[in-house]
Amino acid sequence: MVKGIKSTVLAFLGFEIMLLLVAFMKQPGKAVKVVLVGVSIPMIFYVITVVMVIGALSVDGMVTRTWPTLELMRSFEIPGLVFERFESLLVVIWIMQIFTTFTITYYAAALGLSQPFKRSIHPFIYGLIPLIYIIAMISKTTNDLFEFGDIIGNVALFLFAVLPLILLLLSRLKIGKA
Amino acid sequence: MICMIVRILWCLLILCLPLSLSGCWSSKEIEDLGLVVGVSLDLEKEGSVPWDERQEAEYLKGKRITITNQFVTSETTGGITKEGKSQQKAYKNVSETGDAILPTLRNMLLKFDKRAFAEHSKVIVIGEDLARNLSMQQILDFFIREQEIRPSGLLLIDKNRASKVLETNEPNEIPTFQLVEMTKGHKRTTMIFPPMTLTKIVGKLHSESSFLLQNVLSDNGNVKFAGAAVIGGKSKKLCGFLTDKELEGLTWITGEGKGGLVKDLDEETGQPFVYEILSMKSKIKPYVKGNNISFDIKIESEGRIAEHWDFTEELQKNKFLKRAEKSVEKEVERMVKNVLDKIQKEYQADVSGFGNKLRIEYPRVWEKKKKDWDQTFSEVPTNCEVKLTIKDYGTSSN
Repeated sequence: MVKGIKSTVLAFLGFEIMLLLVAFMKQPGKAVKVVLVGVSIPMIFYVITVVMVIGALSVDGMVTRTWPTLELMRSFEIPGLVFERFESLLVVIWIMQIFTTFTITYYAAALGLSQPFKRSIHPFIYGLIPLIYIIAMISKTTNDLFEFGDIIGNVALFLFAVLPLILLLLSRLKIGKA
Repeated sequence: MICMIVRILWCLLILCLPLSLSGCWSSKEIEDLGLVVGVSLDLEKEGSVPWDERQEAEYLKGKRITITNQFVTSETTGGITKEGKSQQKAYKNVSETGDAILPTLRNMLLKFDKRAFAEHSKVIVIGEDLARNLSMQQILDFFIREQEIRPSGLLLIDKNRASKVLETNEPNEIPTFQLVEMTKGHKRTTMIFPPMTLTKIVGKLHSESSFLLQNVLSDNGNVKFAGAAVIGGKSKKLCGFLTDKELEGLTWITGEGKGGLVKDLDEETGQPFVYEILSMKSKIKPYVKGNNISFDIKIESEGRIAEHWDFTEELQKNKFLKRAEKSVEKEVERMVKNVLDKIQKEYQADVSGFGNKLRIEYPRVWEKKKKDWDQTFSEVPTNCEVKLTIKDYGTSSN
């Protein structure tokens, strides 16, 4: 149960970008609403995906698959439609999704580095490219990759769930003193 | 000015970037491909010379597997389009014998010039001998693991030699495609089981539950579906066959049939009539009392009188229809009892989803029983209730 909660939380991580975006928002008051909408859309998609995958592969079949969702898309063909097979569409959409999350976190990383050093953001944008490339090449095998994903998830959990709380407490203390 | 030049240089650099994108990265020319549309697997008993004498395969006990790939290539399909010249077959079968699946498939490179391309493989036919001797999980592992083979492929069992199914006397037909089309008949008869795909089989194998595979008979280039093969849950090996009639009974239990017929004799006149199924529903309800598990099967169906050999009856009066309903109900009940007897007593294999119903209604009981479910199932009492409604009798009223 606890294990399940952890991996579910990891799937919903990503809203931490709001911690950064609020500073740029014209109407920061609406931030909560934006987060709720932003989380509920993927939630609906996740629920649909889980129901479909379990329905098609059954729980027993799903646990033995490396990529259950892709397996689901590969396991049916609809003759007569424009496309008979849909896994390529899925992969295209998935890559688009990766790009949107990538660009925004990339920007956040460059911004986060440029501010403490009080430099312009450009050198950091270019400097991060080789760094990201090297990190992406670290995992050599599929198992390494899954492990790496787990580590990133744990780090994200600490950075975006525990750390903001501590920072919030600190800022309250500071205000109290002043 | 310098700023402008820098900008132009940047633009040029960006324009050069697409060059590094590899456009036809994994392109394969279709003329060079041999599209694998069907695969058959057989057990080779005697007279087969091992291709690698250093490693006599211990795990197969001196036997080997013969794999036959059915290829469709640019040459074979060309034969169809040229009218009048139908000497050439529309397919090409290549066989190879070995002791594991992939090495054997790769050995086909030694005798066939096309690159085998399995993205369009549709059917896997397994010979009875192989299925009886080797676990399904072992046989199918490669096909489930391989990325190129789609999980939508169908699985069939052949009672004789599986490679014979991939042959036909009609030169323009591709046997594999015929098989695929034939499985669609399950919508109109209860004697064909809904096709079993690789996707569905993965879960069955992992949960160690028994299942059915459609059985094919091949005879001199003619193919025929005949009943089903029962694959045991624990052993994952073939443990027996169900006949057409028994498969019909099983379809009634699962309620997955979309159409079909029941032939029956009228008690009073002794003349036959045919009940055509328009819809079929079944509900399996488990009951648990202490340590005793029992099942109630409720089958409901609506249909019509499709053939009636006795013209003296007035079908517009309900008398005959009621009698016919009762009579068909009895017939269905008999078929169901028959097949239940066979799968419970003879094969001890729950192929009809009773265990799944128990899992849904009594998950705690299921947790305890699932290890030896097939064993438990063989002693479970079942009760069958059939309710039929004859809705109409077509265009003649007698």
